Amino acid sequence: MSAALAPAWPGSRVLLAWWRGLSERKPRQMRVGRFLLHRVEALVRVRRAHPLDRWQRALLQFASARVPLSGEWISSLKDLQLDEQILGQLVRELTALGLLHRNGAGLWRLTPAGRKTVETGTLDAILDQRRTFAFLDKATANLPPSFLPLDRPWPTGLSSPTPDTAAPGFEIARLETCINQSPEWKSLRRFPSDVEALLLPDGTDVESSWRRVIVDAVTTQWFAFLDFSPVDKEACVKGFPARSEDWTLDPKPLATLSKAWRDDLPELFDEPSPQQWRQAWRDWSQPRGLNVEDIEASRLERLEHRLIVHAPPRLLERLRILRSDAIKQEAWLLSGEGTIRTAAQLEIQSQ
Amino acid sequence: MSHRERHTPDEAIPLADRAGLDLTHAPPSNGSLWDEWYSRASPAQRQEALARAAWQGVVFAHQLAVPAPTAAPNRSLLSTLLNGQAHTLQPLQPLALELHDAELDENQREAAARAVATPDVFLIQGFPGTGKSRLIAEIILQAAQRGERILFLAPNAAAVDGVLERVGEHASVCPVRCLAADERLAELSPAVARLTLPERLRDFREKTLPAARAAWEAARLSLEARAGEESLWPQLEESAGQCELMGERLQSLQQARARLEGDELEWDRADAPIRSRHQQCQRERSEALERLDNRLAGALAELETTERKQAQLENECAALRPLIESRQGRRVWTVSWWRSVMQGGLNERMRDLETRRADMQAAKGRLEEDIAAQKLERVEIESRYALELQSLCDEERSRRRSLLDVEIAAATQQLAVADERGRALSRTLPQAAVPTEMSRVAVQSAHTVWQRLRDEQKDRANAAELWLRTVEEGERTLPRKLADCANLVAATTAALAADAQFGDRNGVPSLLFDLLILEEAHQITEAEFAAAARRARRWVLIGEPRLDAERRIPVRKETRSSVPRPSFFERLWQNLHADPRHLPFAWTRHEGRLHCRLRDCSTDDEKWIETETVVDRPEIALRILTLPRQTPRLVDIHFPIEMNVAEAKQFLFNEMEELAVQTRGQSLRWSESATEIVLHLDDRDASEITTIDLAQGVCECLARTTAHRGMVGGFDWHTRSLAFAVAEGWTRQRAEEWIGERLGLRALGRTIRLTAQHRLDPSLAHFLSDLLFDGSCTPIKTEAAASWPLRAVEFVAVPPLALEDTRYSTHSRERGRGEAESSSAVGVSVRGSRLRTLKGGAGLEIELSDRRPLDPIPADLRAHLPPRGLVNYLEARAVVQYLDVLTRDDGFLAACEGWRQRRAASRSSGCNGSAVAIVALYSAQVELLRQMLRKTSFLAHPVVSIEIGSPSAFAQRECLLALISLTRSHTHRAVPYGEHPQALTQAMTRAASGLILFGDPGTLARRSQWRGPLDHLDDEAARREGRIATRLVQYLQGRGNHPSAFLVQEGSGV
Repeated sequence: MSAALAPAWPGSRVLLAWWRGLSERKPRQMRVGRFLLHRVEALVRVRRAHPLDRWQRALLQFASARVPLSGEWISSLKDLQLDEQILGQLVRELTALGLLHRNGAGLWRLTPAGRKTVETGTLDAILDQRRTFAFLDKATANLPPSFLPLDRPWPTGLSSPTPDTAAPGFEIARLETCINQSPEWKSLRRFPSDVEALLLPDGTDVESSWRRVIVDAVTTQWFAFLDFSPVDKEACVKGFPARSEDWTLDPKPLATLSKAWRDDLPELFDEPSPQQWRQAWRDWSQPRGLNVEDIEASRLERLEHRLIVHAPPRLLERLRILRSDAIKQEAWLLSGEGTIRTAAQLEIQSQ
Repeated sequence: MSHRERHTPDEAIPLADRAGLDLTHAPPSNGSLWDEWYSRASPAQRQEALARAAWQGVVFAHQLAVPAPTAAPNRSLLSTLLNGQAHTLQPLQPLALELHDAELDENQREAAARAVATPDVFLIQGFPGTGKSRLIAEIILQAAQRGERILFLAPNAAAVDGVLERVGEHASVCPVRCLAADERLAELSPAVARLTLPERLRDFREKTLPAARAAWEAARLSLEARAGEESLWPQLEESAGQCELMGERLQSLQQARARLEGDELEWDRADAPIRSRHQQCQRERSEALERLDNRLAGALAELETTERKQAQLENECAALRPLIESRQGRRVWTVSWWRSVMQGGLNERMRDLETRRADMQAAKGRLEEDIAAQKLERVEIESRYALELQSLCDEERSRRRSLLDVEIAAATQQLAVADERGRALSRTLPQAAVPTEMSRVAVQSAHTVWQRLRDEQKDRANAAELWLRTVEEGERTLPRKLADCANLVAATTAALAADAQFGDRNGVPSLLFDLLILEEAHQITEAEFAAAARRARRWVLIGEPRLDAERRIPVRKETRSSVPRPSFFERLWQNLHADPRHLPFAWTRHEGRLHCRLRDCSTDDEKWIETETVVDRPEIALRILTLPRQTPRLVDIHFPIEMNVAEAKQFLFNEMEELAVQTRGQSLRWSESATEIVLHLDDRDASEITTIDLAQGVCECLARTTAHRGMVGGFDWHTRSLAFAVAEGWTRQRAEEWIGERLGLRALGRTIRLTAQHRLDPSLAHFLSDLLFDGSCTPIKTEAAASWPLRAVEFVAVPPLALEDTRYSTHSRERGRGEAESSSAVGVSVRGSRLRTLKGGAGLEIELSDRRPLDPIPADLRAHLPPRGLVNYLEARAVVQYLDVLTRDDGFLAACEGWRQRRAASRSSGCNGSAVAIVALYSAQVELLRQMLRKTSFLAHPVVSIEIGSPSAFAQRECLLALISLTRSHTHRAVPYGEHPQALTQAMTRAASGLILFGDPGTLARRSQWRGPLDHLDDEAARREGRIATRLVQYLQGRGNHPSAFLVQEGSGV
């Protein structure tokens, strides 16, 4: 990507505003990331516990109590003196749910699912539903996309700039792989456990299977990742989406990433190296016309979210003359060169 | 999942793909980007996206074209259809159905199949009596069977209830009738009232709740009984143990008794005296035997000695005998002789030996006898002993047997007691849990069964309790549950929005239905329909056709005000229905020459027409419209006299590529067979048919018209069908495209017209079809249900017509049904001329609010009449008098009885059994008639059931005979008939067999002469009513199209 096309990272004041906006939650660290996301919408088969309504439950229990353990058929429930049409509809509902089975002679019997439902009071309903799954594109690293669990539906109005024509495609097999993973994996990755299967177009009649069309909304999204976990606890970062047009940060997190993501996104959890911090200091100070010797003579120290620069007095004086935000400890800089960079608040101290 | 969860808009959860999912109605939005886009995209955009998905696999969101901003999709579809853009719809090709009503005719079956299959909209047109209600019932049942949820609406309650009575008790339907604010439960029929929520709740309170309580009580009592039986089981087990013990003991005793006979006695267990005697016996035997043995031993020893001695003697004899024999034989040569010589006294020695041997033998004999005697004595001793022993044994066995018998008896009794005790305990147990026998195993097995029964009853009690709790809350929860599970919601269009369960919430429909059926759609405005349409995905509209729509495009310009604006339903029909009569082609014959008009041309443009001839056929004239600065257009072709219609059509098709079709048919209908595909344009009977070959495999079938009305401009051939030969490569799709290109007609399959009259007897059907429906209805019955009446229609003139016509009218009355009408020219001309000269009526009508000094209405009747309204007392009297004659007519009485039996046997609704409907067009006249009839005994007639009312009171209902009091009788003014525009038509279409009209011929004649709006009738309604009046006057004048069905009673005798 050429420099002309390189994305502009949020500046110091933006970073300051973000930090201040979320400071009451006492974050430990802030990182900024720019992700290429695939929001894949597809028709999936979902298994969900569906509670029966009172009438269905009562009738099912009544029917089950009528049927001996031998599983004989019951002829009718007419002694309930319930309107036959209402009774018929209730029975049809239960039959349609697979809880009652009626043979050709009009006799009923509970199905195994019906017996289970009598015991539990709920029914495992299988529904076909369109769901959206967010995947983090890692094509640049030659890796398959990673499922990104979102804490809430994608906010409407969150800008989604149209990607360029080189936007990578999405392999459906990746979604199928996630769906077929073990319950433990799904729990760890917070992949929806009620999704059982992906419903693909069957190719015979496109018009009748229009609901099976898979849509990929490719989005480039900026995130501010803040770590709110206590010092003695494992890191758990929350991603807050930002609009690139005006760098407005959504106050509600959109994603929560635990240590399970360390392998996928090491920059989100690992501390940049001293060299990277040195380079970040240089990148921040050189455009401000500071003396190179003073820049190099400065000693850097990391403390929580701050980068403490022990600078020569001359450099300090120069910053005062420039009325730099760094004097007021309102300057922020970013360290790193990848898609995720660590932010640090500059604190200039005299050597 | 309930219907409500499927159809609630704010959380619609789409189910798995369903066959026939329509593309024109998108599902409710659920936040899905694709669903939302698809609902707003145009068909072309959708097709493109689907095609991209097919070859690309995944569609990128940025590849989806931005759809045009539109209103709700249903509204879009409605707007699309009303704006004549129905070409976007795909033609409908439904599958055959398995019908519930086997008596539907072919047209109705097709209508039902299309209504069920349509993904968007379907329109049904039909005049009264063509079976619309029956068809609606079938559609409802089919949709319900498919699991659909149906909303059935109509502008008036009678239409709603008429259908509900047909389907209300069907097992697959769970209907709810919504009540309007001004509707009362008592006004509904019982069958319909039962379907309302209040009645369902009442039934629930009166039946279901008590039954639930009874079930719970019974379950509770059963459970209590089981609890009471719990303590019986230890006792039963104890009894079973005792029984087992007793049983074992008894068995042991019996075995011991059995062993008595076979086994040896153990004498140490014997009774003491017997044992003592046994011992003594044994002792005596022993002693006797011992003595005997001793004697025997001595004898045996002596015998042995004797035998020894005897043997010795024998030896000696044996030694001497050879010597003696040789001496006696003088065997000198033997040693024995010489030895005998040497020994002397052989003979004496031998004689001594002999003697001694004889003595010995005698002694031996005595000894042996003695031994034998002793042996015999031994046997006797043994025998005596055995006898004695046997005697003792018998005595002992007998004693023991007696003892055992006593014990056995005691044990048996104890066993019986234990068993009886056990059985007594078991008597209170359920039959299935009664032990089969009093044994531990059987009792334990029965206990297991009892425990299972108890557990089952616990389950049942729990279920009954849950059911009871559910039912007790039912008054609160049942309405919602009913709303969830009801698959048919019926209401008037005005009532639904305000309904608490199914109406709107915050202005938005609370439920979405799969199918909306809207009856009498011709009375609905577009706004009313839009309000109803948004509640359902698919729509089926049923209404009556508009008679003005039969007209062809006028050749003269008409003013906008004179052209009635079609109703919403009619507009929809016109845009969806391919009516071949609207084709611009017109064939006429002038002076023997065939003229074919290809395009419309107004009279103003006539001056721009130029005539040219065909180069190689100069006898054919082409008339070309050459308007300035416009492209010339061929509008007319005139053929020579010698050219027949087939040649003319072939010339047009081959040379001009025009398919100039003119037909009387109103619809397109495709049929397919193995050899041909046929587009039917007119299915009516024809006297002559000819076929014209047009192109490769295409034939046009013409039918010759015989009806007077069918002939236009002297041309009597109409296109009946177009056939496409399969052998020539024609397919249905290709044929449809070919027709679409040449005629601009495309059968979408979204419309159907019902023309068969099911209700009416044929004679009445022909008459009413001619009078009311422009001859477009045909009776489906081939003969009348009864031999009465003789004439389908009678007109009783009030006041009577001129007396000089009596001869004609008498002659007319004597004619029977089916006889050709040979009119008396004198009678017709006199009557007709009299009618023609009448400029007004007799002025018999009375407005009740006008207090006249000479009021013909008796005071006792007047007192019961409303303060205002129109009445015609003389007409009412004529009705009563007619009824008097009628109820004494045996033929009529028999017909009434047959009617009553047919209605009782038929499940069809629409008739409460009344054979006679007395219909007055004004409510005050209804009341007058009611009061007058109360003074008679007609209302209580045992055979003839009579009902009186206004036309709306008989909506959706039938009767055998209708007596209609037209009421109006004004001296000079043209007056409308009825309190609403549909009154006259509604009144006339109720009867199945006969119609008696009571009216003032003069008023009728005056009405027929009026043009334009009239009182409450707008232009269209007044035109329609005027047409009816005109045709009725024609019948009065003897000029009707079906004179055999009509009789004028000119002398009312009033």
